[in-house]
Amino acid sequence: MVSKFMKILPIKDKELFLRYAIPCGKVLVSRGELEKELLERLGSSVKTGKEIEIPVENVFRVATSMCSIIAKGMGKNEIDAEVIRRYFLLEHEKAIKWRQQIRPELKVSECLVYPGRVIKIDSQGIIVKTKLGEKTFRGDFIERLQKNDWVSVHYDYISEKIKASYANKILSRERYE
Amino acid sequence: MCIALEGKVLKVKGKEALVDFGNIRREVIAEFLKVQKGDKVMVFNNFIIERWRDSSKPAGGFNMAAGFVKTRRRF
Repeated sequence: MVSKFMKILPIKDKELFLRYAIPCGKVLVSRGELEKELLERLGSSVKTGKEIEIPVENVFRVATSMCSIIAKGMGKNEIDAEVIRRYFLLEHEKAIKWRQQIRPELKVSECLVYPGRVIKIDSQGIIVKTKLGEKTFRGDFIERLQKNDWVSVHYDYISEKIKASYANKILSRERYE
Repeated sequence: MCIALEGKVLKVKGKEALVDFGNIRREVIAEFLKVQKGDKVMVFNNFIIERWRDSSKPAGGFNMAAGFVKTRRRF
């Protein structure tokens, strides 16, 4: 019998979703769950701003399941930018920590999405300071960054530029948890 | 990485299910997918997101040519 998935809602903002999902795609490739070629095609589409014709909902099914649950809770019938940011920036960490309780052997630090501030931009990459310290990230998905900009990072990538108020919201929330 | 964990449903009560993950059991939410005792499930963040009812493997990853392929590695 073929397995049955919960109902996945359509993604309205595929590019934003991929900015957050692609960075950990290499893990899915190494697990045989995603073709390397497909991941590269998706990455190229985000970099060049080309239309994304691949059904992204079917590629990152766990993330889209979580986004669908959040969207339904918000009374929405699609995965929009608000839902994507809420999942990756606010709910994702909780989900990863839930998994760690059951499978502590799975590494989590790189899985987490952090807000951070751009410290330096050079030919090697973009140095961002997060709560874990300073690290060089790839800026493939983002243009026109400046020193002191707030960004969100996932694995080796900067996912997007975020508002300072949003970064502070995430950081202040962490302080109370 | 958003990777779900595989478990087996031991008991269902309303929209909750007791799932055995091998080393540990957890009450999880079965609100978005109907499950029954004995179902194999994939769970993430306390939500059941996928289930199957025989010995076949879960749907697995996405392949451009074939759509879904049964290649998922299980935990």
